[in-house]
Amino acid sequence: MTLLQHQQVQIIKGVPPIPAYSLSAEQQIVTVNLMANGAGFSLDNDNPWTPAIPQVKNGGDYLDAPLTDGRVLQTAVMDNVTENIKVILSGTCDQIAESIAMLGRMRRDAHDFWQTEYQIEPVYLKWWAYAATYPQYALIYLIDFEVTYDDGTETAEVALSIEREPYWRINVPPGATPKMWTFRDQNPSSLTTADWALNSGTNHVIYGTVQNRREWNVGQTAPISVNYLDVPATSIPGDAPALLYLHATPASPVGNDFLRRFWMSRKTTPTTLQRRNGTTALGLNILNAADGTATALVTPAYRAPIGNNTAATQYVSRGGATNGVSWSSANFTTPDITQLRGQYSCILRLVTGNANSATVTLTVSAGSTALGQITRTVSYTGGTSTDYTFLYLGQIDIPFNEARSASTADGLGIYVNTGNIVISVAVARTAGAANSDISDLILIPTDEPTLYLNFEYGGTSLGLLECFQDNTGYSSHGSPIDVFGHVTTARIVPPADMGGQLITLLPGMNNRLYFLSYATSVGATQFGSLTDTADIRGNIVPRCTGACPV
Amino acid sequence: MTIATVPHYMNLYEKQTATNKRFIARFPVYDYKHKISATGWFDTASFSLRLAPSLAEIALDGTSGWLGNRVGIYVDDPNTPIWEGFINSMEVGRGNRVQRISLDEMYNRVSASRTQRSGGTSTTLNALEVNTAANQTASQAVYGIKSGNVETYMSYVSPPNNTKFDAVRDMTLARQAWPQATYSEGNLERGVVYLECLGFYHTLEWENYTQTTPIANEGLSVALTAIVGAIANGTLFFNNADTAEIATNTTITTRRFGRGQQTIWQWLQTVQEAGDGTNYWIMGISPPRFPDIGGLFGGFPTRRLYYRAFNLAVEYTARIADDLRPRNQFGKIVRPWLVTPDKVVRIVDELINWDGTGDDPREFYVEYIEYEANEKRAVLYGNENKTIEGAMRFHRLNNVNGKRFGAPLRIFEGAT
Repeated sequence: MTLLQHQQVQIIKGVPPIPAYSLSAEQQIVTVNLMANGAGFSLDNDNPWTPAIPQVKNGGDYLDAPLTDGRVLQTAVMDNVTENIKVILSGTCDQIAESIAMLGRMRRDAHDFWQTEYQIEPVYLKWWAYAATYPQYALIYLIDFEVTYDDGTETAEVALSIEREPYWRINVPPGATPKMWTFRDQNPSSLTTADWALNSGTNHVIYGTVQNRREWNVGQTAPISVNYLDVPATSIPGDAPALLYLHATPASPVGNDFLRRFWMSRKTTPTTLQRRNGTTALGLNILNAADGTATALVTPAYRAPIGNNTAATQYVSRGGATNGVSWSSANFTTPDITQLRGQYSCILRLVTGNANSATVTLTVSAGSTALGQITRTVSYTGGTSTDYTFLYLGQIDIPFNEARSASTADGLGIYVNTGNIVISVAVARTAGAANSDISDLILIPTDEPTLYLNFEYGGTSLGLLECFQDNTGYSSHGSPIDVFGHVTTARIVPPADMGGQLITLLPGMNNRLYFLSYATSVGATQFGSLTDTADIRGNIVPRCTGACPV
Repeated sequence: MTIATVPHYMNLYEKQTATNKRFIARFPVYDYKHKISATGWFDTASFSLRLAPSLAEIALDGTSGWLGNRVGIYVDDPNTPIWEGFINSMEVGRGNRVQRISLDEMYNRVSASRTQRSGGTSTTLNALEVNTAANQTASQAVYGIKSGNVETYMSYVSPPNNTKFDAVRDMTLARQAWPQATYSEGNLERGVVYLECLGFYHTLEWENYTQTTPIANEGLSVALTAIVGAIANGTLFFNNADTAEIATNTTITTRRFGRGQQTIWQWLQTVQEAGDGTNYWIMGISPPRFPDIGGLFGGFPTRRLYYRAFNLAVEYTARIADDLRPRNQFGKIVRPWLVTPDKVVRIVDELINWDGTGDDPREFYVEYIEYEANEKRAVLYGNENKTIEGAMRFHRLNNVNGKRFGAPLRIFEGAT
């Protein structure tokens, strides 16, 4: 076989039922086989088909001026692909007529999937390339064809024009469970219904439990708790962003508390680097008070604060009229504050003190003040004296300027930023007499896809139990829309407010997924618990532009 | 239709009159544009949605439809919308016809006004007379109070005929108490719904300022606080009792007195335009912040009136070399959907032999911005208005930023 030969080329309508799940009910799959090689369709060997590669839509969008050299790319997104496939139709007159009718029905169904509400079966192209391990699928938007009859050979030549989505989905048809990729090499008969569950069990591409904090061991050489999961590059094949079904089960917080807000974020920039002296520089995303220079580190009697540096001792920074913590390179050894690079939403976790009002200022400095400083100021009123709460301080960019990375003032070429970064938070009380206790400053990356779920309703007995995001098409029966779902403690489920974009995974690189949860109690106070955990389960649909490289 | 490279989403919420103001649904938006003004802040936004026909029907479905609902537009920051307001009008394609429904011509509190001569042949002109407003409370319960005034004819007869005077009011209320729907020719694609939204400051144009007895002189900020604190819609659209962002301006004083059927917003503008005698002042409804502790735990954004001197800090820079794309003070290009007004922008790649006195030609104050997602750019506008309209107002610091200034007047000809 040569590269221009294929194992299978088919047009298919329908979603396959879930293997091993006896109650999974789907309409019968309808297939137009373009390689019947007998009566029916067969590829035209005189006009062999080579799948097309997606092109940049309209050639890209540029900044261009007649007085400057060249032009600057602004945006480049991929367009749909039009496949032109010539097939030969052979058989009796009745068989030829029926085959053309079948093609016509498939064409109508493909179009009705987009323009009606009753036709919910996706129509897609299946291509199993020569020497490829797995078949590939692409959703079809448009089908058209022309027929030329040849009475001499009693055949018909059919020229198909199929517009499909830009990327091929590896081994997972549109609308099918993404676990068809997870179990691609397993015999379906060896799997149980429980294995196919997306929201339970441990059999997933991504699985782990995350904390709601990040602490370092003694000496700061390694974390002892983390709020993220790493998805290694080897788990994400292909060359296009992998679609992701990601499920989170935040563990029920203390007592009667219920989840109210949940963040999910992706970061693909390296989180571990080697310095020239052989030491390791680890990334930071949560800055703990005990690691910084603080007003007064104390161990409070209420809910467990973060353990840092000494592991056994747990600290918050406590202040009365004023309170503050600052972090710089001097506070860290293996963790490296200069690795902070990107756009972040900054959230301060603190105990505000009952009936307090205060102004909180976040300051980010690069080198000396003369080099640059960003300041954000917010105010709060009220709170409790024993519960942590989250205070959103806004977004910051590091570095401040257009440079992706910059040298120090003396030209030593640090990969992130000019000079030392200094980050500080300062709390200034404006009313009340209670202390404030600063626990940590949480930086959630927002320069890559980030999701924020806000489940705020009147009444405090309605809480979030599970949530998931799905851009694989499984939850939407093949339709390429983003789906976000959740389960609450009540059967009647109001929708959850959501901001941001659903997450995909970039192939060929490590993807780190960050999480943060924020709960409230039946007593209507608010807190960002340090002891909350969340079980994370994820399954992917890898994608590629050409033949599957796996 | 095109969609911006960075997806923009509309979060749809219940109307502000709903008990819980809940989130309803989230949609990607197409052909998105918005305008943010230093005076007012979130001003207008327009975009299209692609909806299944059945959902488009629900969107248009009377009082349970989406007209008047709150929307927030989100891009990359999942916590903070880039624009927020309410749906003011919707258009749905129906073949070669477009159905439009709008709050523009809705008035659920109507009064009528007239001037009256005393006596049949008297040339004495009495003061403007306004009859008691009539209310359509069912509409107000859904959309909030939106006032309109009908200006009627001169009355030559004394005593005047109040029956006809009141009938004009009542007839207008009966016809316009609910959102008005129209059909017109158009070419909107099937399944596409086009929305036009307004910022919440426009709700201050929904009410007429009816103070007919002058109140003694008081500082501008005091007068502004008193008027805003007494608006008929109360805390419905913003917290009118929260004065944290109302700066003190008592240097200049004013009397509170309604002129004709000014809207609240028009009266507030007379305060705002005066500034403090030295600086230009601005006002509007502040953008929402991530819910503060101690605020309503329903997660409702904190929204309040701001009134303060304009910001003269140079927070944006720009280069002629790249078509004046706004950059922050460090030279980083500001993401166009995050560009905001009320700051000074300085052109940094132009040499000017300026001696340091008078107006710096490299700098201008950003009065408003217009962002267009498909173009992936925001355009900054100063407050120099060279049109005839601007010339007519050349003594005033404010220029016309939009055409929506209160309830339109209706003139009826005739005599009682």
